[in-house]
Amino acid sequence: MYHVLAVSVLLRLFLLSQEASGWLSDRIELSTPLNSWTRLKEGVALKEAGLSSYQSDLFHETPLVLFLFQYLLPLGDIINGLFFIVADILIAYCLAQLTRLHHQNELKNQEQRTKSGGIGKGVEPILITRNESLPSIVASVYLINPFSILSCSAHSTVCFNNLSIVFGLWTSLKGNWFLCGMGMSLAVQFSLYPVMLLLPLSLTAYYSGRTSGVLKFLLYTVLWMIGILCVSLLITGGSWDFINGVYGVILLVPDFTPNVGLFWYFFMEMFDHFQVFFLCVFQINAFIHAIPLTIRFNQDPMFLVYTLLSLISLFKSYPTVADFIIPVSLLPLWTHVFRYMRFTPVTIGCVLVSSIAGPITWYLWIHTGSANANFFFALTLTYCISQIFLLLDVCHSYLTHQYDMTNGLPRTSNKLGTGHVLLKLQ
Amino acid sequence: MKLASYTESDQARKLTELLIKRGRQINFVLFSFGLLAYLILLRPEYVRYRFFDENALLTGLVKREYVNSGHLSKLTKQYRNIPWPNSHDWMESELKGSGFEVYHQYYSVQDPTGGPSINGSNLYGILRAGRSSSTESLVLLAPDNIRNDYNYGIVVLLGLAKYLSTRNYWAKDIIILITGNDTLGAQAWLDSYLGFHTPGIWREPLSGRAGAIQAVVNIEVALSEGISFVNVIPEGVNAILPNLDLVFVASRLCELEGINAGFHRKPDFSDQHSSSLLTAVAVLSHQATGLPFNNHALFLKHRIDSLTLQILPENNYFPSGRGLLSVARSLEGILRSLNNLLERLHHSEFFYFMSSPITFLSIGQYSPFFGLLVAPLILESIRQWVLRNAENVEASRVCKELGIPPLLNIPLKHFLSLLFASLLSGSLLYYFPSFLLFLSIKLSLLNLTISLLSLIIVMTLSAVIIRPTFTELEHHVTCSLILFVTAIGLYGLSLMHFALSLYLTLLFSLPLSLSTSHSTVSKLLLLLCSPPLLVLYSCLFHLYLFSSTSQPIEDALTMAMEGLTLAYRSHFISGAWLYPMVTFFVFPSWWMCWIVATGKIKKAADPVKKKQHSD
Repeated sequence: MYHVLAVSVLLRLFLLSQEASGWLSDRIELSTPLNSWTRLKEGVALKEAGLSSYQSDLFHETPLVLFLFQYLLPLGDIINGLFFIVADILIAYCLAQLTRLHHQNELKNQEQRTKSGGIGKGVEPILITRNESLPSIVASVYLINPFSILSCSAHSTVCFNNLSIVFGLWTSLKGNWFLCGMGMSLAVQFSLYPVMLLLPLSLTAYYSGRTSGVLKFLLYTVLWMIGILCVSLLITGGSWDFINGVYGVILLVPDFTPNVGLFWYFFMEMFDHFQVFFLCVFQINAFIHAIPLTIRFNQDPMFLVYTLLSLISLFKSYPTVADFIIPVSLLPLWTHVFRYMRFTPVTIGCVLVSSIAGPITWYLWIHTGSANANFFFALTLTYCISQIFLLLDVCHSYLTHQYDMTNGLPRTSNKLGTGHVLLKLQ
Repeated sequence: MKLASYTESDQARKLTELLIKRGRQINFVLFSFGLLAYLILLRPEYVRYRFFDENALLTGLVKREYVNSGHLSKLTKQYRNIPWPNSHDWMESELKGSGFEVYHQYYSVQDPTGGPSINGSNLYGILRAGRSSSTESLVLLAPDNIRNDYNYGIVVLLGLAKYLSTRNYWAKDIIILITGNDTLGAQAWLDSYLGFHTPGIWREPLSGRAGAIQAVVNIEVALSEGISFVNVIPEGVNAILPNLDLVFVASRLCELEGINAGFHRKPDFSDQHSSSLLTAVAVLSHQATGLPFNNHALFLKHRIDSLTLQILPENNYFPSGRGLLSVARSLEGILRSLNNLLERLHHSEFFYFMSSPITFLSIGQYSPFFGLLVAPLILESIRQWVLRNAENVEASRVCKELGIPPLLNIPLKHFLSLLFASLLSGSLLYYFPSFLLFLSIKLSLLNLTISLLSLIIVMTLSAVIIRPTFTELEHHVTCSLILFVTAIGLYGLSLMHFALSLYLTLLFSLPLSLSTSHSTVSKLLLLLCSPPLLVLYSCLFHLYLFSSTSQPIEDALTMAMEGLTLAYRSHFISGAWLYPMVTFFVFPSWWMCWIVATGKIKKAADPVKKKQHSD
């Protein structure tokens, strides 16, 4: 574990020491109008000059980040770079702790089910086995991931969003609802979409403390949100501009700067009079999946969290590749269902193709002017396809695993795997 | 629910069996089809013919008016009588006399290979547009190099300058730029004009400016009594091409003035298949380097359409006896065409290669067959993946009885460590010359070559000595991923730099796809396509195409060394990719395959083996 940590930190330091760092922070794959380092510096400069950072269409960070970097920026590039590296290490730490707790819970659940006879016969080959190195695997997947390394070097503030999400998840497993409320409310105020995560965390709270647990969690979250709002207002000096500047931008998508998501191209090409309608469609699409998924996966809030995080990364209005890293890092939690996965080569292929050819088509479109937006959009579509394939594949494997666990092995049906019910509403 | 099914259909099983058994043969057939397709595509029936997509360009094709040949011959005589570096004053007075604003720019370039710094000055004149404000401009360039026979473009431009200033229809500023030291002068001027800064180049700020540059024509004229043939050179740095309309306008205008147009000194016999094949090969091999050989090449990097017209002296092949007047008249036509543009050239093709002055292949025609050439890598990668599934038979038998798929076992350790090591060795190659410079060792031709070559040899041998051990499963997975990444890299490269990608694919595709087998032949093939030898082949090929020599091996070696220094220098000054491409892509992908091919295979303890695994 420690050598992975050392290598990942060295790689990040190497990239920071290069000119590449400045170049990376303007890459649209790594930073969006919401979390761009360049825009953050601009916002801080505006604030220092005594102007409102939110009145122009430049700055869309939350007031908390603005406040933080008002004090961090003057400390110089090195301190700032180190700050982002520390944030990444904290994320990896939270992920590792979260994995440890989740793995323990899973094993405990399995034991209980075996004792109570809740699982089928002959399922030994597909049982969850104790894996002491799982936490370090999850942390390594995060730390060594090229996307997270590049995102860290680009100083994309999306890492604070990720940090608060994994912090919330970890503390929810610990049962510390006060801190969990803090993490969740921070995540919500950073990027709004994690509001969906309140559903699985309420479920966790429900399983640990029934209705009172849920109430406690929601109460803490709401209190933290009110607290953060008050602090934000203090920072902006009582001006409500930041509501429109941050959440208005997230929901209404006025900035069509290309990114790895689906919004920009669609809204750029569309006639203006359809805009409101499709805005509603796209945003509802981003949120609506939470309901059916919660109904289906209500037994396993952590898996629900994984699916929701994947969907957020896929459907949010301003995604970066860093949004994809958290669900990918969580994947090793379900190593026992990997054997059921069937699109692995396709998924790996799509990720490789989009991450190699994406920057190339961007270069052809923007720098040499010989290709156009369609080429780049085709590659972002490939990236999205790889995400949806992965999600679909993992969900399918998870459900099949559950089916086999309940019904026992070998399967009774002669035609292997054909015709058994995978989706049954409870 | 079809999604939940793990049973393979019969068709799929047959396909995978065919792939496992006959993979090598299929690869060979696909590759040959791809090669054949390129040969057939260049037939007159399939190539596309000259057309003009931008109607605004057509005006200049109608009539040229410049007739003052007496002035041109007077200028020629004057220019010939002035010794080389002293001609700036004369040029300045001529340009001023024609009504141009004239400016100088001094620059100094630090040689990235540690040589002495190079100083020089650019001379440029601006003719303000009569019809509009100075928002757009056209640039005419002529090189002013020491020891160069192609300097007489200056005479043409000075002659034309007088005429241009008498016309009142210019809607764009016209800049005449005379620049020396190969592409260094133009680089310094362009840097200041666009506000870029290249490390190692110091230059004066420009004292006079005009509008945004719309197009550039670089004119290189070799002096002789008559001129007969124009070599149209469209390729820029990294093989970025100008809009096809510009190329066709230039070649058509030269033809109208009685000068034969061609690409890379190949005569125009567009009706002959073999000739267009040779032209295409010459064009592609010139493009493959992606180095800036002519001044116009630098402008393309900044999205400015530009080309070079290289006028060759009269020779026995092309006795036509046209003089400088025809060159000036065709240039006048090009300027009038470009002057009429309302927006940037954007209608016609950007991805193409020429097979004669009037025929070309566009990306829609050539790219599908490129897919066939890369197919061996992709298919072999899939084949290895399928073989991986066939591994671990015993475990999968148990699983089959239970009705569940076997464990997903993708050992990435070897692939990741190989990828990391190869990129590390790539960066070692990339940074090694800078390291030598840091130790204040001058990078002469020989130094640079020997140091890089010995590094490569050490790395190649180290693979044989270390010989990592793979289990069969690891071997299949590692091979599959390496080949896939290489194939994607070649595809990606083909979008940006088709010629280089095609060249690499032709040499790499089959040997790399064979590297998964452990035969001696495949190792020998791999050695034969090792990066140093690739450089040597390309030099030999280049010599064969463009010049006749009695001692090809020695010449090729000298050329390889010069090419290496040129590639290194161009990378740091003009941003050419050839050097980093070789160190970060070509060498690492070859090296990974080499290690996998020389690695030891640990036979699995399980004796259950299918016959096809042993090949």
